[in-house]
Amino acid sequence: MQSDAIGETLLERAARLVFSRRVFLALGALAVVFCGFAAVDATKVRPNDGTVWVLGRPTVQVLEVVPRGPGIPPTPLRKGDVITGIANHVVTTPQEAADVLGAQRPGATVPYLVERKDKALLLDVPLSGFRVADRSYAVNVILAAVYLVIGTLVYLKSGNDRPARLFFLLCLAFAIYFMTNLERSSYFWGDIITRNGGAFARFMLPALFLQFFLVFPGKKQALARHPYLSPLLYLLPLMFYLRFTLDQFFGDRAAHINTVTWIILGLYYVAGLAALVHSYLSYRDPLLRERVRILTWGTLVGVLPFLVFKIGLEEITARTDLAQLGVIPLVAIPMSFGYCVARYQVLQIEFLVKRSLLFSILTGLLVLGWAIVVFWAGSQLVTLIGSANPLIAVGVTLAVAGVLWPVRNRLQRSLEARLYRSRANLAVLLEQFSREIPGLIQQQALLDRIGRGLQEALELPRLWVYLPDAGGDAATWTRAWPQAPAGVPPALPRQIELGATLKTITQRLEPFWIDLEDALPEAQHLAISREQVELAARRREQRQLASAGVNLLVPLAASGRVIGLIALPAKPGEEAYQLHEIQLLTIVAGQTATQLENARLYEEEVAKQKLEEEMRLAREIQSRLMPAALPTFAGIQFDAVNLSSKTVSGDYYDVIPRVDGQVAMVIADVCGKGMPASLLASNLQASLRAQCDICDSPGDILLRVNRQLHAATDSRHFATVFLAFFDPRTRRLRYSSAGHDAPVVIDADNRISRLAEGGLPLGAFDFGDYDEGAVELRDGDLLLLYTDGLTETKSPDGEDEYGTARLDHFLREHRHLDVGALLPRIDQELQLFRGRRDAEDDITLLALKIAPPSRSAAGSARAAGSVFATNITPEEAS
Amino acid sequence: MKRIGPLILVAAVVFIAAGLVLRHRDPATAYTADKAAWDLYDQGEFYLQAFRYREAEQKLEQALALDGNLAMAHVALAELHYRLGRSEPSKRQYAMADSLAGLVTDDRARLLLEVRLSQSRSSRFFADADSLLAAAQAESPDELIVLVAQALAADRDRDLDLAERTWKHILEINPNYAGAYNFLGYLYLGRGRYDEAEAAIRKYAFVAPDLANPHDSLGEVLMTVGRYEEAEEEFKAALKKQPDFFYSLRNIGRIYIERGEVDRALALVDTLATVDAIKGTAIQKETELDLIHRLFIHRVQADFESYATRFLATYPTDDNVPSVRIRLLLAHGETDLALALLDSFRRVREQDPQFLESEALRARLRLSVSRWRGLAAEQAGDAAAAARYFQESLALARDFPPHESLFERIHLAYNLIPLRGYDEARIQVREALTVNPRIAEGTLVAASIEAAAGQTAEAHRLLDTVERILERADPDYPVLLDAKRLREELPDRDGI
Repeated sequence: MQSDAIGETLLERAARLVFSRRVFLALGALAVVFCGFAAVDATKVRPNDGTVWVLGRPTVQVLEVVPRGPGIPPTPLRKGDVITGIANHVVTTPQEAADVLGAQRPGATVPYLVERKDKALLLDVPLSGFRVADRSYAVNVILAAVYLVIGTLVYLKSGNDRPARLFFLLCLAFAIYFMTNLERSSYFWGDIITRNGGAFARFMLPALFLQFFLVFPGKKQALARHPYLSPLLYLLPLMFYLRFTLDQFFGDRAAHINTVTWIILGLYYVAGLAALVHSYLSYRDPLLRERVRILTWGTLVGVLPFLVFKIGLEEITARTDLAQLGVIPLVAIPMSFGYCVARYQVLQIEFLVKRSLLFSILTGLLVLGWAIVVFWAGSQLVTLIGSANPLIAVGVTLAVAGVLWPVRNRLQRSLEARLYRSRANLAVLLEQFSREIPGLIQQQALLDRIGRGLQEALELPRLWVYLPDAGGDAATWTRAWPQAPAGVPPALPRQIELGATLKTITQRLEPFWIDLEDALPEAQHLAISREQVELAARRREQRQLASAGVNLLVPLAASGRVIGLIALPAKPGEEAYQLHEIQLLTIVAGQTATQLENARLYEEEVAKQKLEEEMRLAREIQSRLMPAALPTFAGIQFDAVNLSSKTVSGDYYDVIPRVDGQVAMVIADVCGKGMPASLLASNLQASLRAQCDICDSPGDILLRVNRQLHAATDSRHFATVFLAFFDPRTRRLRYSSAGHDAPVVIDADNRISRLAEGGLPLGAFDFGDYDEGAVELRDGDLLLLYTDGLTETKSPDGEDEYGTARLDHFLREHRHLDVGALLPRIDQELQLFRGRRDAEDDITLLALKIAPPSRSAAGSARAAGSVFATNITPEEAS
Repeated sequence: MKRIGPLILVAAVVFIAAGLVLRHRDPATAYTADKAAWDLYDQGEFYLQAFRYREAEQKLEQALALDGNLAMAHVALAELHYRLGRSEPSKRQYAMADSLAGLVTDDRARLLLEVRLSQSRSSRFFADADSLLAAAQAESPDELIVLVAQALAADRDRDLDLAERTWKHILEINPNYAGAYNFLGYLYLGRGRYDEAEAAIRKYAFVAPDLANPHDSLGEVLMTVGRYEEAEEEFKAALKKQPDFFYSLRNIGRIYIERGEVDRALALVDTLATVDAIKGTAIQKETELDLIHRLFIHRVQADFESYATRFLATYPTDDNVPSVRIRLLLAHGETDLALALLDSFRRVREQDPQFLESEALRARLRLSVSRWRGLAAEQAGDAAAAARYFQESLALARDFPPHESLFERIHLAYNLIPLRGYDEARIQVREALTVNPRIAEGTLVAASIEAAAGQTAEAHRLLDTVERILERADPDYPVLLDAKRLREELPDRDGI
């Protein structure tokens, strides 16, 4: 198991490395270098003796005599001749022969020493000058450049997804193909490299072409189900290439691509076209179809003539006159792709080309000037040193280049500053933002800074920042900046709908251009499919944006979510956003999103701290409501406890000794939590205390306090109260309840009764009567006053509540305990019941027990609000 | 962007370091600080190898004018003088080079210089030639100077396999080292591998198209196998490229003699003698010696005596005087005196340190003695003795290339006729004619064999061949006269 996990990780790592952007860009650079090399090699006119040699032989054996053009004398060399000397140089290997031949002048007649049928012959061989140096190669160069440029731009823009990678590779292969579309010659080392590279491109192109259209514009099901099919596509071309390579070294004729191979490769192209057409026909979304149509036609226009004229006529039947008809239309492929990318995705490609021309020219001149100075200075130094060693000469030149590099950089920066003030300014702005943004923890201050900064830097009349609706509607976005709408109409409303557009933005998390064409009112038609509904919604939203002048939406993205949008209008004067401005926006958006998240978290933290402080104060108030000590009477046990939860509720209890010897017992539960509840409880306590002093009737007291409470608060703030007067001499209890949970009385015979007389909760209504009840308590009777936190204690799964039934049962079981042991036992019981679940409400208990005659009557005085240890067992309690 | 500047500098350092490490050692700097002097020496060396002695001498002296301490230039100049037979100047230059060798501070360069010097007897390093070569082989086994020295030493020691391997190795290192093809060609020629010799020399001509020597060398190969007309074209081509390439003039003269155009050949040699550049040089002496030898073997009596006498008068103390005298005595029929002189000559030679050192030279001496004895016996009419001696010299020549034993074979065949050894005679003659089918004497002897064996038709046919070979010969060319005489003696083709 362990080793499998390791192997997988390594494999994934290897795959990530192989498919990384760096590797692909390096491949691109390599292809450019190769194309440059092929161009130099191809345009260099070299002498040719009209033969083809083979590399792997120990001797320079003529394998083939190449027909020569008109006006060029035929070569006297024949197939099978072994060339032992060229131009008065003995040659023993094909490489030596190529070196000697390469030093001759095309058009010269050169003596060759050959062995023919074991006889040494001296032949005068007229050399012709050739490689592809005619006008048709210029076309190839242009085509290659188009493929390279568009392929690179599309790849850079489209990210590192599979279709982009394949398109990039396809363009590289095409570029190499064009640059190596050359004639054969004797083997110079440059020719070896060019031919091999070109052959590799020729063989791989069809497979790349096919694979690309199997994954783009949509991945074929077969490929999705059987991913191993992709590498299999390349198996045949690789085998062909191996055969070609082996032929170069060990074959008995010059390496070439035969008819059967061409036919098979041609079938690859046909299959690729079929895949593309299939994709096009399978799209239902008219917008997507529109985009694929252009690509489809472009590819068909490019590839079909290639198949017919280039492969069919030139390669198979050797008719070369119409070959160009097969090559030139290939430009349609990258052009159609480039158009689609620019049209539907990346408008700034066009801008980059347009706007950077002057800058590019000047930069190019600067580089050229630098290179000239480097080479001149380098050559002067080498002459001074007097070394003929080429390595030292290269090293010296490189040293000069290294020394002058900072000079070049300085000049380049001056150029940039002069030509692109805004670029320089934007760099400064970016630096400022980078410094300031982390310090802006308040959301509004942050948005204000960003908004003003961007508006100023980009010279925009206005811009907007929208955040998702705090109310929870994901489709509705609210303007967060500027708070007041800009004075210049048209302006965006405070709230806008962006659900459908947001979906597209969230997929790519990139700047999104409002497609004005898309935003135009469309002919009304019934949207049937889901795609059409979404399309219609998107168009609607974009119309709204476009009508307000919005041209560009830049998402503020954090952790893959869009948490905000910067909406920008078109730049004044119909100028386009330049690439560096887009880059600035993207960077600033990223920083802003991060900081918005930070600000949100900060505010949450502040609120949390505020709440905690409030709770603390409330708890403090609440704790002061409870009496510090409970009265003691002989034969009567009093105890009380307030079991706090995480949130402070308005529970309290009170025991008020009266001058007539009675004891007023109060248990109350004020609605709400936190400070408001605590304040109300405090108010209630004060009222009750005041009334208890002057009134003897619990019912009347509740009536009066109700009026007072109702007048002082609104109906949302109320309290449930149980008020009882207990005469310890007579053991008579008179009570009234204001909507409170009925206290329990359990007698010595385990009979339970509840004290339910009373009326409505206090403060809710300004009317109501409060009936009174009375009960005589005897020896062993237990009275338990409690708040609803007890009976509403939830089970761990939250499905069940403790309830009165359980309470009754518990009391019956534990009636015998003194109240000092009973209340902790109740706490323990509740903890066992709720398990790991936190207590959701405070629990206040006030217990009175008429001790049996054999027991002492001391009641335990406990500090009000304390939470005692709950690990006291019933045995310990007893 | 920020890192590009430092990266460029790092790359510069890497390149410079690589360049310093891998830089090709410039041989010039080891021998001289003056690049111009070295370039002049280089050119002089090139001309020397191309046998363009005048230009070579000019360049080498210019080099020494710029840097008198350029030891390599002194060595080259010494070799030039040696080739031109200027013994004293050659020795002086070797002495100068010997003393300058110590000034070369680079150990490797000094070793190579000493190896080169050790090739010459005039150098003090000659005695250490083997050890120097061994040291140089250990130090720089693929250095051209070392390999050439190794090849020449092998050739000198008659280790022809090693010599051949070494020349081929040189060509593997530098397939365009023209001189190697020349040496290889002569090596093949010396081993009787005439086709390979021709191929090698043709490559020599191919890689050194401006030189006359390749054509001359090719001409020699072609001449050896009897392709006289092609050889003549090559010699003329050599003269076209270098009008003062006297070797080719001499070789043309040889061809003329082989074709019986004696008067023409003599005229050519006489012309050569008037050329200032070779007057009094070793070339002139060699030319005259070669002429004397050919006139003798072709039995052009009068001219032989004339030139031989002149040679003796001109070079009275020359080492070759005894051999000229022996020929003269034999030509006059004084065989006993000739043999006596031969013995004396042999005894003197055997005391020579060079002969004591070299088995090859001893072998050559033995062969010469055997030949002379054979000729003497033939002169005396003792066919059996002559045949025996020629058989002996054939045996002695078994390690020599076939074309160097043609003389023995032909004379053996000739002496076997009176002994009725027709079959053996035919074998010998056929062997000779296989190598060179244009040897008139050989063909004549073949005709004589057939005539003696009664094969009249064959004899006539062979006589026709002789007449064809000698179609341009002087009317009094001995072989032609002999051929006519034989034909007269023979019955006609129909046996009448």
